[in-house]
Amino acid sequence: MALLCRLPWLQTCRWGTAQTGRLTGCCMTTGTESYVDWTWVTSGTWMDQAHSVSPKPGMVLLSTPLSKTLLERMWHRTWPHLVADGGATVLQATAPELLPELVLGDLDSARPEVLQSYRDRGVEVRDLSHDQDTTDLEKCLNTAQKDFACKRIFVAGTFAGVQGCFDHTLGALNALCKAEVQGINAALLSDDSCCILLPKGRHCLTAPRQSCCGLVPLGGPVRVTTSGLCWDMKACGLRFGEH
Amino acid sequence: MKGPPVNLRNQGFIFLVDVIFKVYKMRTWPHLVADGGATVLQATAPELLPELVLGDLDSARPEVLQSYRDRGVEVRDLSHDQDTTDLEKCLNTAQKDFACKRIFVAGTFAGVQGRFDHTLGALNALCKAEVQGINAALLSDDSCCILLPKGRHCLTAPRQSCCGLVPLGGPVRVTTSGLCWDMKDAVLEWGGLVSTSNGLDEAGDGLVWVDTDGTVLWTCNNVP
Repeated sequence: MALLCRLPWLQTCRWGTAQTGRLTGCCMTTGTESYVDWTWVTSGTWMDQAHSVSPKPGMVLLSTPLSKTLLERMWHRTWPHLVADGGATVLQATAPELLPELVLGDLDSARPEVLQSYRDRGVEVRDLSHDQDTTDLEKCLNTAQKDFACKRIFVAGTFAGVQGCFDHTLGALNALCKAEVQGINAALLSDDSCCILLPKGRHCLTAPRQSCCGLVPLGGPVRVTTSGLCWDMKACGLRFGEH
Repeated sequence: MKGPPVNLRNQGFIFLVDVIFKVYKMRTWPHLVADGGATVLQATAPELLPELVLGDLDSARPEVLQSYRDRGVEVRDLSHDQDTTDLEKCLNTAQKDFACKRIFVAGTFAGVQGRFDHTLGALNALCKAEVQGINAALLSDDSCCILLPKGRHCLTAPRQSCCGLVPLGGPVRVTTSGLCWDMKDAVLEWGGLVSTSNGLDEAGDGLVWVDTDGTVLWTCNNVP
């Protein structure tokens, strides 16, 4: 499916239980018009399709639940692997054999013995607690871009409905917005939900069959045209408080 | 969905009294059930009878709907209207048929089967309700979201709660008191400053005051 949008859009989709393994969308190839390809987000992670992008997307692991299956699948398709603070405890518990390139944040969440265990195995643990103006996720996205020149990044972990902390969900969305301003294409991906911030321009995405999808503006009204959806839109103005 | 508590006071600003902890004691009326909510109510508290079940009725089990009809509850089929969600239908009906001004929207609104589109849809329903002059709040077992329109607001949150203030549309300017990290004329905007991982000032009186020049979303969680 292709989207043409004027301002940042939030695209969400859910992993349905009925997957056929076929690509559901197609990329628009209208002449030389450029577009952003987001098919790497769900192909090869939720949907078991061979899909390679070069260079590999980076991965940031949150401190929220994520299944071992999806964690390992994403791990092997990504580089580098950055762990946001308490994500170290999650990684240790879920897949202790996987070693990230970096653990970083204000380090007030991860258990000290877990951090030490990563240090003992040669993983750099970077204390950025002096910076109280950014969240651990934002620190990871900044570092992925500055230290590893990442342009595409998975943010892996449950991002909604964790202990009622909806402020964290909104914080994660804001991190996507900040990343977009820095030229990073970042996507939130959990076992059952995906969020991608689509900046102004043309975009190509996939979603599992029978998936529930949504397109919602963040920060102001937008005008969009879509194809490939059940209910496509043509030059449709969308804003909070309206349809 | 429930209507406003009888003991709310409104003295020119929006005042919510310990919404999180005392909701089970509050008297609310009317009680509107959005479609599949009928199945939830039947399973959770079958002795409670709502005033109305409504929606496009494609989610609730037919035998559940019939069981409510049999007990005198009106079940209103609004499936002809495909332009609004079941939640929006309920909010509209609460205002038109029952003259509700304050409404609880009860149930888990985030993290349900990966349906983040539903979460955003619920937030949009709050926006539409605000335009119609309704003060609606999303309330689940562990999370609360309230849309604060332009003006001055008074709220409470549990101690050690995680709180946030985030605009849904364009930038807003806010001043707060009663939070761990208060703001003075701070501009909140997507891609810039938003307030998350904030909390109640433990040394204060438990009240949070928010002055905003535009619509801003307040969220807090319920610590068990």
